[in-house]
Amino acid sequence: MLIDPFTVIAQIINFLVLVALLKRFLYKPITQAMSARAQKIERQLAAAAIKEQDAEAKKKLYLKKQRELETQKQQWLEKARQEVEQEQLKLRQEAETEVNILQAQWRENFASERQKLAVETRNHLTKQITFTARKALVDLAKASLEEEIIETFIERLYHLNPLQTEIIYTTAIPYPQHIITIHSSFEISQEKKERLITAIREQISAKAEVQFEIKEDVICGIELRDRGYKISWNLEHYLTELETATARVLAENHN
Amino acid sequence: MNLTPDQIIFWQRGIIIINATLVFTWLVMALLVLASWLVTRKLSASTKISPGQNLLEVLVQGIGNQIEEVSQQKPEPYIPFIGTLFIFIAVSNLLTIIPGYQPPTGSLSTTAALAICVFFAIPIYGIKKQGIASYFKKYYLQPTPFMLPFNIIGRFSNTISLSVRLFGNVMSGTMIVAILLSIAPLFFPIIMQAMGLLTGLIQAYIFAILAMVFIAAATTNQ
Repeated sequence: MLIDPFTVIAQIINFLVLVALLKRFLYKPITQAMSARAQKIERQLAAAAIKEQDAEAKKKLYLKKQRELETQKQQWLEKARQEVEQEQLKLRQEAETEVNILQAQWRENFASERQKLAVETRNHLTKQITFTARKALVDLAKASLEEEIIETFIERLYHLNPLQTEIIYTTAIPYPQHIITIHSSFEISQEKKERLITAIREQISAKAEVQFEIKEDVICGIELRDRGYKISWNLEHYLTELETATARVLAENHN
Repeated sequence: MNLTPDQIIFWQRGIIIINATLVFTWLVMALLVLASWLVTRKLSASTKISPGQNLLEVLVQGIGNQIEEVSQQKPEPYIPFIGTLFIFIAVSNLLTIIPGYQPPTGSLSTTAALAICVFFAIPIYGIKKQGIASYFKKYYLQPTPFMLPFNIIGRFSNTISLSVRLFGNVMSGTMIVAILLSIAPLFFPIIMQAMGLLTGLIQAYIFAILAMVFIAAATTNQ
């Protein structure tokens, strides 16, 4: 017989025992280990997900901070640019002011120098013209310049213009003493003084006291001052014209 | 020539017979339990595991996947029973490569014992899952109560077919190798031995899967 009842029963028992043993030593530990690993992996995944969320939040935070820093940087750059522009403008204005001051000073100095030069030129020309005129007069008429000036002045006294005549005859004569001063740039000889006194007393006032003074600012000439009017002859008029012409030439050359 | 290892008797007293079937069954049991104990005493829940643990995990996981695929249910309650069926039959068959070894599955007593276990496991799992009334009403009184005898015959025939199929395949494999050894001892026995290993593994798979199909049929509501 192929089937032995005792063996069948024994094998059933054997199989059930094997099921129990394998359940104890194989399936249970293995499934527990797998389950534990699955849980561990799940925990790790959960932790990783939390970390990822955290990282994402941090990333957002840092991106936000980066944007803020970028904005701040742009603001700082804009502020710095404005400050630089203001500083540049300020320095330019200061430089312009300084240049203007220096220019004004230079112009002032230049004008002063020109004025000084003009005065020197004038003095020099006066001397030169005086010298030349004197020499020409001496050479031509054997007369001195001073004498010719006095003669011209006396001639002018005898030929007063209407305005001067009106002043002389309408203005009150000072009392008790009527002093008329004659300024000249040179010494007048006694003879010429007497002729001058005679001419004054005939033309202006018979009781006038005439005083003679030498003044440097009367340029190569002679002048009479009395009661607000003046009778004179000198080179100032000619020199002024010459000075004006010279200044015009200098200005044209400067420009 | 012995047709079955039952005929190789080592010790006998009355009805108690210690034959080759029992001895080799104990040998296979000892081997399985020892190997399992050696591997599972130092299990690791981390991602770095020993090769033995890896092998057992793959085995248990594979059995679980097959059960889930067949039954469409959670495999945990069925793994010990179905898994032990598969592992015991597979190891019993694979060890035929060792000279002098007699596979316990080549004994009709063993396959009958396993089939009887399946025969009782089906109602146990079914009742546990659906309740006793629902189970008997569904599997023995359908489509009509008149079909009860045929249903009972159907359940028995399942068990008989399971046991005889496994016994026939394993026994025939062993017999073929034995016959070929006497006819052409040089080359053909090796091929047939290799074929026997494959057949033995396939038979283990078929037995376990059919057992699971029967149990699944008893535990599902459809």
